[in-house]
Amino acid sequence: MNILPELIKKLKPFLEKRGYFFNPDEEMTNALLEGLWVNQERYGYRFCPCRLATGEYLPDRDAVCPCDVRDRDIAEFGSCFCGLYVSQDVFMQKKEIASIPDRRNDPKPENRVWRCQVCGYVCARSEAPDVCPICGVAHDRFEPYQFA
Amino acid sequence: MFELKLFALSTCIWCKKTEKHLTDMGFKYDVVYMDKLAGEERAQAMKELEKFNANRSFPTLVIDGQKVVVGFKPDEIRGALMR
Repeated sequence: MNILPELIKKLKPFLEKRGYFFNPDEEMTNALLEGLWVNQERYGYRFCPCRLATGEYLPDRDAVCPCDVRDRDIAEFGSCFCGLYVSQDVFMQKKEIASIPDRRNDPKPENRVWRCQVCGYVCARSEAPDVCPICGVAHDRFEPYQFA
Repeated sequence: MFELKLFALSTCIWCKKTEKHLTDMGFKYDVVYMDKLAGEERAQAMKELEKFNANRSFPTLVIDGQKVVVGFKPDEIRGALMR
């Protein structure tokens, strides 16, 4: 049973258009996706393969892939906690990534509202996204947004 | 000889890398796959892990019941074991 190559082929363009990249180390990506698959079968949801699930959905929900802290970890460290998702920089340069601390239980950061100057997409996050998930322009086309 | 205990998850890639690193260096170790434990057994193991790593994250390597390496840190592990 190896549906992974097919699954990756389907998911990749969808993700990349939105500014998300799988780890270019295929062996690692495959192992992580297999771990997600194991957890899907075990718990009924794709819990992070590198964290311990309780087996109950509500307390586990924040670490169902993609986890709540993925984007902050990618911005700070170049990869998410388990290493499935990496920054564009890591993806292009094939830079090595390292094991990072788990910030799952850290206090939530303060969010600002960001607006894409090109298409008007608005989101509330600590930092603007790397790529506008709607129109695809880069991080620097976002500005902090004040409600009038 | 060191007494090595690894708290790990069977699905975790960083845990696998840590195991490979230890094996490549020729060390034997005990491994606890926390995701494969349930009920009282897991509660006991989590209590033990908490003594060494309050954040209870994986992998956590305990060397001789004292030195603790959290996460896959190949250089730190090598430094602690190759004296």
